[in-house]
Amino acid sequence: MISHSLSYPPLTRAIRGLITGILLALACLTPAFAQLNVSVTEGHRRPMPIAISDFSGPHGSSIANAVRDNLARSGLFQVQNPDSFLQRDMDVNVAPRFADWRVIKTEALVIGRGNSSAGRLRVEFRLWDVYGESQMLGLEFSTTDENWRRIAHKVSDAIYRRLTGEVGYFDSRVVFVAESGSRTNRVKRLAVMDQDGANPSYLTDGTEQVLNPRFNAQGQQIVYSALTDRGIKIWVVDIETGRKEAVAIPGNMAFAPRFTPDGQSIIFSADRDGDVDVFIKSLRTGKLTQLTRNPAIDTSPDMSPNGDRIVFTSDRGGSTQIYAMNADGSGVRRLTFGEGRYSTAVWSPKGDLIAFTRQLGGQFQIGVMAADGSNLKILAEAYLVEGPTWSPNGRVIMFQREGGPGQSPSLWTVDVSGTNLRKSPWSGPGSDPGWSAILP
Amino acid sequence: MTPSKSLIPQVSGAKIRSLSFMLVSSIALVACASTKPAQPIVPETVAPVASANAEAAPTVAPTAPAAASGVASAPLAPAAPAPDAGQSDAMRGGEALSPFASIAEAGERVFFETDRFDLTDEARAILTRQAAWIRANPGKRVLIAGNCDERGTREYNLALGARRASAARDFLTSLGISPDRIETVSYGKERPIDDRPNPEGWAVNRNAHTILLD
Repeated sequence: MISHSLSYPPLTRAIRGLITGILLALACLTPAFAQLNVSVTEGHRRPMPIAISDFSGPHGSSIANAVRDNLARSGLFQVQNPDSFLQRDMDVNVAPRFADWRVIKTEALVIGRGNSSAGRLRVEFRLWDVYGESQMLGLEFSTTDENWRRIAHKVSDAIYRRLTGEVGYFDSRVVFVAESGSRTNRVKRLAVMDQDGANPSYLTDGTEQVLNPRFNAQGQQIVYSALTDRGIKIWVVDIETGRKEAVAIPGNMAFAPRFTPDGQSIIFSADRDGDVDVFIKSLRTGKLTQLTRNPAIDTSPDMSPNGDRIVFTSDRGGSTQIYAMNADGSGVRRLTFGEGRYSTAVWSPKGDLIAFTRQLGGQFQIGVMAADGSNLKILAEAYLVEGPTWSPNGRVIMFQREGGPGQSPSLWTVDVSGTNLRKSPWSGPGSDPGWSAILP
Repeated sequence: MTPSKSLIPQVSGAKIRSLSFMLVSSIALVACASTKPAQPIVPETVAPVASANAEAAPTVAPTAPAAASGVASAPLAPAAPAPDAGQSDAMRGGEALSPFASIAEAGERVFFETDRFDLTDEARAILTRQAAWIRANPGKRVLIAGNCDERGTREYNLALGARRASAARDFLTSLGISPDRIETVSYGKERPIDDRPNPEGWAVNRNAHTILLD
């Protein structure tokens, strides 16, 4: 049992020496702790125990809660219950009593403090290696007071990055379709929320059925299609100004839009007399180019992050499969050959993987495969799952899921490892998620 | 209390927020067209703790927000009206009055097999009756909407619905109905009429629906 210091802060040399001695003894009983890190690639690794103390200052406990929720949902951390903490008198500028944290077997510890003045919130925090007794990270963020959740996400991303070596994904948004009404009279509104379900807002009023919204890589514009009685049109909305503009496309049916990686063009499919092909239209010059010329269905195009390949869904081979072609429409190659029907292919942020939807044996599945169609792996399966979208770091996939016949669609996430399947904190019916890049 | 239990207050808090938001937004539907821009949050290094022998973490360089790119676009050209709608059919002349009082009476929907857009014999019979009505009502135009069941992905079903609508249109034009009198659209799986999530309901929802325009 470690006695609590009465002369804290500051730590006296004697007590530090005492604690260190005890810790050294404990350390001998503890497996390797020299390098504190977490693997994001392996499924079912032991989650790292981490303690997030309530930050002092304005929004302190709310920020700590948001960080805890982020890290817990990642599946990589075992977030310690604050009720178990022995040390309660934390100061961001004083080293913690590591021994107290070892008692509850936490390996990493976060201590933070906020200050607010003139509407600006400054939050500083330190990440400590409890067994290594060293600071791993010390950062300060500032923003406007009402933006405190973004600081919590920035803190979460910094911790994730320091402990996993991977860029995080917490300070990001998700555009999606908020659904309401009966199944035969569905209202589908364009909505945006933080990746953790907070701050939802609606961008359309529900008079049109909004389908398949997606961010541009810069995160400032959303492209979507809107279905009305007489047709389906592609729209671009700027989320800063709220300004919406229809993209002029001949005919009354243009859908399945996505931005190209440079944000300068829209790639989509359009109907010409019952033949659906893939097109690309420059938003700068207005130039429209047809990329596929095939009597079969060609839809759901997505351009690779480096801009040189396009994956799309086609039934030209008799069944619905995923194909890839060059950016100019040449070099078409079929990627999927297995059982089932494949559709909605989407590139990972690094361009190394493709997520897709597969229908097989009366169920739907979300899977990933290599860019050449090899190494196919199924991550989730249900009555209906479709429309995968990648987290900005490529480690998590969000999708729409209906658990059984007649159920409302909701948003779910799964790790690319196939573990950590969970429902999004957004509690309402939702579909067609599109994940943004990390916010600036 | 386990760590996962500690999530509960947060999740229910989010529910309350989103519910209250929905209440507010349903009052002000039109006034909610923009959301806050993402302002950059720039990290700074926190000075090391005096008593700890830790190295200061490097400052992460901020990423400048990309400038909002403009969207060049123009309103869609209005759909061309059919100036002499029905005239060419009427000029064929000599057609008997339709025995059907309405398209609905002739049969307004034709149905399809799973993932198919070819017309069954029954579908052809219904479309033939529709053609008789359209021929007998020269001033009228119709919209054919293709529909799909829920057992396909959204975008593929929009394409499949377009094919179903076109298959119905092509059969009507093969019977002499002017293409100018027929518009097509696909609703994909977005507008089912039968909410049974079973093969019977799906069969009803796989259809091409002919609707009187104007």
